[in-house]
Amino acid sequence: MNKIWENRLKKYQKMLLHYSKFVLNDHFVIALLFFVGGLGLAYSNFLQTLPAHPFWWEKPLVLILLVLFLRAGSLATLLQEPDTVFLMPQEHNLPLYLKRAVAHSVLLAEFFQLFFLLLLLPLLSRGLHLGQLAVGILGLTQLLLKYFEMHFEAQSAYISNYEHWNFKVLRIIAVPLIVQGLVLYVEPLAGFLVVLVIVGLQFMAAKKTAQHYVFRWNKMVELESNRMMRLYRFINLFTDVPQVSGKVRRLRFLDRFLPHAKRDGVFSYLYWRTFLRKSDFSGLYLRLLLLGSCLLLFIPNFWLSFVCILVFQYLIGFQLLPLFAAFEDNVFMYLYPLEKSDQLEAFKLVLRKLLFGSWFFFNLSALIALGISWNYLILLIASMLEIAVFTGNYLTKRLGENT
Amino acid sequence: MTLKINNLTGGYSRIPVLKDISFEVGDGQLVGLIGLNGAGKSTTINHVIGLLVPQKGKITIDGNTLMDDPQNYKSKIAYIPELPVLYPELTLREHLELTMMAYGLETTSAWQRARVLLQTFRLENKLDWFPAKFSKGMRQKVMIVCAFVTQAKLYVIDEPFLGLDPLATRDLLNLIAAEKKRGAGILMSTHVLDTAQEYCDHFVLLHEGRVRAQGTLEQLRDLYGDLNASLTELYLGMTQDVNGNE
Repeated sequence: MNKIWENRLKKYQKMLLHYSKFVLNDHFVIALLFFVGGLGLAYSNFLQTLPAHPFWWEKPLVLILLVLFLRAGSLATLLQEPDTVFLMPQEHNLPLYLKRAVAHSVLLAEFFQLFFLLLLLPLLSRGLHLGQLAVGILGLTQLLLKYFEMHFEAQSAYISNYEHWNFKVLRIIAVPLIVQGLVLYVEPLAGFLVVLVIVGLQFMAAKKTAQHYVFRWNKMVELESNRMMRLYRFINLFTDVPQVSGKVRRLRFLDRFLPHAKRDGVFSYLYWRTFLRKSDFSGLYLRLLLLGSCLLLFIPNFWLSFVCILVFQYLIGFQLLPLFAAFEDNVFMYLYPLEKSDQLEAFKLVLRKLLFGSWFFFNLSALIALGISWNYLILLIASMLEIAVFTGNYLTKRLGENT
Repeated sequence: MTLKINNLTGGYSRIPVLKDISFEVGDGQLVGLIGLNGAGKSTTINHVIGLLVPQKGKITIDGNTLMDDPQNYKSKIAYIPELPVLYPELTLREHLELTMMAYGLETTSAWQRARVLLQTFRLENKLDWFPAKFSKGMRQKVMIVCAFVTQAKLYVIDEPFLGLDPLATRDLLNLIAAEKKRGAGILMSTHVLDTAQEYCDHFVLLHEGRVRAQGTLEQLRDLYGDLNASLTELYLGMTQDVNGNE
């Protein structure tokens, strides 16, 4: 089992390294540098303005941040679906495997926690005026809390009750909130002792679980594949990941908006259904739409809005391009007596309608932020022109080559 | 003649899998395409349905090749693949609607046929489900229903019996018989030789990319020189015969 874990970890890290090339490409790194630099500057300016006597909201803010930070880093078991069959006979050795997995995940997660604590340090000492000892205890408490959370999660491999929402609330919100609340509001040492006792109890309970419960293969494999999917989906924003194929949901309430079956409508029939029901496409559209609209609401500068609208529209259009080839691997697309050129036309129409939707919401946000003016008219026309070009010549050129 | 294959040489790459294959599927005829794994059955079928282009030779349906008029050629074929191919984001009802749209069927009468088919295969209460999540046998049934709703001129059926329950197998054979009566040609590849012997009018025995023998059961028996041989015996005898000579 040790061997299996080591092999898996090696493969997993190799995969991460491989994709990090694409994620950390030049553009992204430069953008990130600017972003982090700007944020850091804002943070340090903000710290300068803090008075000697802390504002009333500083403590709650720190508390919430601490609890939120605990969400970083999750349990990576690296279990795979075929394991339920192939590793079944090794179940008695599984605790050994899990132990390695938890140890690895905890180490990584604690590293993240340290990083966050370092970021929070100036706020703690300058804002809340905590002493070195208090800060140290707070840090240790935070690390122990993360340790508690990860172990609790690992225990749910055996105890199905832990999956229940009240246990989740306990693990994710209640315990961290109470413990760090004690540290911040009452007495640092008290919070630290509480979490120490909790971890100790947990340690004792964990020794028995593997003997009394059965390993929940399906649940654990599902959790792990969910985690991998989250990772892949993130990477998928930068490059194509073969494993990403989103879930399909019926969304019956949307049925009435779908085009009905009629002659010559094969492709639009397929495109609209695929778009709405496959979370890959509809989720992406919705995310970008929301993000863009929200961003535009807070941009008071015309030129910034101008660039933002054009970029977001382009992003939506560009990211939806894979929809064109969504059913290329279905033999029947080649068997049906259909004209290949109809496909491109149908796709253009679908994309145009979707982009008009985003056009409306983006410009509405811009209107609220900028107010009506001649400049605003330029915004409307420029973004409309972009759609016309994108779903016109651009698509013909880009997709026409393959057909 | 519905389907005509003349001196077909072809395959996936430069090196041909099929060598000089010729056979025909007439109107109202059920032709069994018999062969071991790797004999070239699926390759032949891929050529017929137009997924592969012949390197040499010609395939025509009612006198048309794929190159002459792709839309016409394809509208005459209904295909049931060996492994069910379904759209993960469409319901059963939408699969049927799509088939009707794609083949340009008249919807009222097509739905009448579809209802009967759905009832036969006990799928009528699953219209709003996603068939991609069904079991293998159920998905196979969906493929059958979608294919037979088209009333095509030529059915191409790849290994239909695996995964089907006995009742569905019987129903499929009845359907095939009915379509034969209507005048459709059917090309079916299979390993289930007992069933093939009972139902096929004509056999094409493929071996290592060549047609080893073809004809009715009687003709094959004559060729082999054993008037009581079953199709299994004939097939095993003929393929091993070739191996022995090499």
